[in-house]
Amino acid sequence: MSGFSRKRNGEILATFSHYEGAILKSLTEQILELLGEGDAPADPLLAVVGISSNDSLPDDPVLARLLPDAYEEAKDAAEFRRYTEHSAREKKRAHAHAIRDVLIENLGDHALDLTQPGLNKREELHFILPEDKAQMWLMGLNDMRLALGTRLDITPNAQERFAAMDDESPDKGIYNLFAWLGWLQEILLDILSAE
Amino acid sequence: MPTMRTADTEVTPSDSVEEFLRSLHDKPWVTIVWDDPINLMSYVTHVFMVVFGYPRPKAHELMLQVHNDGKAVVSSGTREEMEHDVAMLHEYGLWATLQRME
Repeated sequence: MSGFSRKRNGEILATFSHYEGAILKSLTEQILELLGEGDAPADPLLAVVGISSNDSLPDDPVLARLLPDAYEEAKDAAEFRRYTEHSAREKKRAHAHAIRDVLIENLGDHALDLTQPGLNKREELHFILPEDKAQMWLMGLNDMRLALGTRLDITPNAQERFAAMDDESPDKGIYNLFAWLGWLQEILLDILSAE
Repeated sequence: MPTMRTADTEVTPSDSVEEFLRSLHDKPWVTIVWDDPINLMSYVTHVFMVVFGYPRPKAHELMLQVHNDGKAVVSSGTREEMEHDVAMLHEYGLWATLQRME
């Protein structure tokens, strides 16, 4: 069974198949690419102190959800964004990197390459998720859910809508992935709050 | 009663206490978290506990308020403090804004 569990010695044991590990790694890469888009430090000097030339909500709805306005009032929102958006992007990139790096360090790139001949994609792999990385994983999984959920236009009645959808529909596949990430997040939350 | 002498005024400790108490009420900015259909309820509760150090019952109650009323005031303070809170909540993926207290 994939997911997370607490070992007797207190360590967090993560279990994923090759296939699931590869999907997670690929999602982190998509998030990293997305967050790199339109990141526009005003000039090298201003970039040092984290000031960006961006002052409006990103056009892409997913980026807009990951980097929302801090004020309802447009002028204040623009001012705040100019000083904080670059660092907000860096923080979200760090979440994705934490997931990607732990996967690669523990499983190796090789195990996450599904194109290898003869690979049993369903074979389960285990590794210890370091305690200090668990919060980053939680945030990173949440960023993925926000990205997929925004693309799918998730509403409170989403479950019924997608249950009624044809299994062959691409959106249904994305929804199943979205639901799986929510399930992973719940398990990790359970483990972290049981302390 | 001992007094503290500053450059041009004498301040008694009772004045300082009054000032301190007044400053507690002088928190004209608030952070608001808005309901969204993606974040898990358990995750929102967890974030309120981690970011604000609220005990679970208070964090849970605030989460329910967001869920049922569409929004909740989750903290109050100076504008700078609220900008910090909003940035933290955004890092966790919650939908938060700050504004002057109504």
